[in-house]
Amino acid sequence: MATEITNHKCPACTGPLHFAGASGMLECDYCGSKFSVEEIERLYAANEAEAAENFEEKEDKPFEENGTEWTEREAKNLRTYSCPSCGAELICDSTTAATSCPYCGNPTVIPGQFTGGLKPDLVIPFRLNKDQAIAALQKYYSGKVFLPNDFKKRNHIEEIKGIYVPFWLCDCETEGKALYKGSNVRTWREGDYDITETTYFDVLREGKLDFEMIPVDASTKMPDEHMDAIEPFDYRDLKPFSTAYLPGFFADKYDVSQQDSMERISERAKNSIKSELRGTVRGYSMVSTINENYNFNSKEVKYALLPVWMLSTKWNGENFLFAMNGQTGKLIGDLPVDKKKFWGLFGAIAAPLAVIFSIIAILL
Amino acid sequence: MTKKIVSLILAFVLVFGISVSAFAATGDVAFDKMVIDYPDILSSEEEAELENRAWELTKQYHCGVYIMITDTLGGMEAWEFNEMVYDELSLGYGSERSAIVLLISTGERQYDIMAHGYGNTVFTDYGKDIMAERFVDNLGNDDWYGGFCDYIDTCDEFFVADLEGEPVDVGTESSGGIGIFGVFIAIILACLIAMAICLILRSQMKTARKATEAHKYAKDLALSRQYDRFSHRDVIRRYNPPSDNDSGGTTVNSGGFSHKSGGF
Repeated sequence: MATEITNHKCPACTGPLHFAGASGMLECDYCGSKFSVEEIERLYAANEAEAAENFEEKEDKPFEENGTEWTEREAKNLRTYSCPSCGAELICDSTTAATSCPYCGNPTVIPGQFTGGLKPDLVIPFRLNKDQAIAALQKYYSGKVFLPNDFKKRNHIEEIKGIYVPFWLCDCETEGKALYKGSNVRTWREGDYDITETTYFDVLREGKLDFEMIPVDASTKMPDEHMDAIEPFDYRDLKPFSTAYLPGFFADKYDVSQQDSMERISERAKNSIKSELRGTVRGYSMVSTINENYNFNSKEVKYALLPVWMLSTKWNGENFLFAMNGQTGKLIGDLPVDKKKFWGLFGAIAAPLAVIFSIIAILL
Repeated sequence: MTKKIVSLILAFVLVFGISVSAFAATGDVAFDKMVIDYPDILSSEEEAELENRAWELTKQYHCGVYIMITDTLGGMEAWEFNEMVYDELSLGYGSERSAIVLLISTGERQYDIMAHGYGNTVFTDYGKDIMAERFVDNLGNDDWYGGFCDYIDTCDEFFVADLEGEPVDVGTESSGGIGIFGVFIAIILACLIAMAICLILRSQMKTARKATEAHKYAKDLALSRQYDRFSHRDVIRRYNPPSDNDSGGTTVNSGGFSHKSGGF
């Protein structure tokens, strides 16, 4: 059966393979065999090429609406595939590149999402697994004094997903020129007069700052705040892209173009050169900026998939989303604040301090 | 002019001089009328009440506490008038003739606080400033009795402070008001510290933030041009003579008197 998706089966027992971050190899869920990425790439190169070809043929075919449930817009963003293991119909959105079959659970890859110009240049494989992500979330809760007691007790992880998130990694350079007014103040006394002398300086700084691989997530599904906050990734682990890293995880292709991402990268780079230039102005008691001008030039942009664990929980009808860097383990996310605990702690600190300070004030 | 002044003081002496005969009765006080109300602005009850309180303080602290009220200074400065009355009526307690005298003129709306002898120890320049602040608003509103009560109360408070070894002066607390202010500041400071700690802990609950800079990915800054050029210099000269009260204590003139004068 010709299909546009593949799943990587164990050459020993035909069981499904998944990529294990700890070993950096593909492991069989059934017989425990392990295979290197290169071995699997060799074995499945032909299958993936065929799947990609089928995918291209299907690209021109619209999603077939069999009922009235799907709007035209929804239908346009959906794709259907047949699971190569059980034959069930998989419905994914148009950016899905790796997923798992909801019926048989087998990890599946859609190589067509990564062909031609859509092929990522680089990937950082997952290093941390699902259990480590759950443990990190539990650890994240600890030491949060304002976390409602109820949140930890009743809170259950609704969903946990390991996702290869598409990122643009942008090499760029910035040039900046800033004119400041620096001043120093000296005071002394002459007879019955207080003398204040203010000396002003014109200060110029002009320079260039290069950046290497500023990351910006290229998926509209991922909240920018979460993706920015889990930085940095250790680029020493970057590897040439291979679909062999994907089994067992979800993956999306980008849906935010390089062009659209440049604004965010440019803003970050300009802010950096601005503060770097300002940091070189020293020796003044006051500095004000008279005028400034910054230019941004992008150089090489690479397309990379970076590993992220997304965890979502629900409490009191509200969703809480956490993201963990699948390589470094840095976990971030917003937590609810118990107002009673907040004001309770405020009172517990303020009251004794007020008593101590009052006694000191009276004694002085 | 001199004739007018002399006649004015003589009038004081004539009206109140009878009491000078009481010198023998008290022994230490030559003039035992503590409140002299020449223009009669106080009711007899008010005057009696003030008289009693002033006399009690005088006896207790061995320092004459006087209130002198006139309707004119006869062209003199308030402090000159006060010194002349003090001399003419032989005010003061004991051989040092210790006294604190509040003179007011309802005509010129001027006052003078004058101390002598032990009074100079108790009522420092700074102390007299504090005292004036307390009664001037009452006198300005023609609340004579209220103003004089504030004066007597302040005298009592300052005598106590001196007996406790710390006369009211620069760098000392003169009243509970400053203490309450200190407590207020202490409470505000405690609240600010508590709020800062709570906000730091609260910030740990919100960690998903957009990045605004990219320092982690930056190489070294290469400066191509830089200078720091002198532009100009501004010099401001502000006249600020040393305050008399800066170093505390009491400024006493050649006659042994110290004063604080002003209007109301």
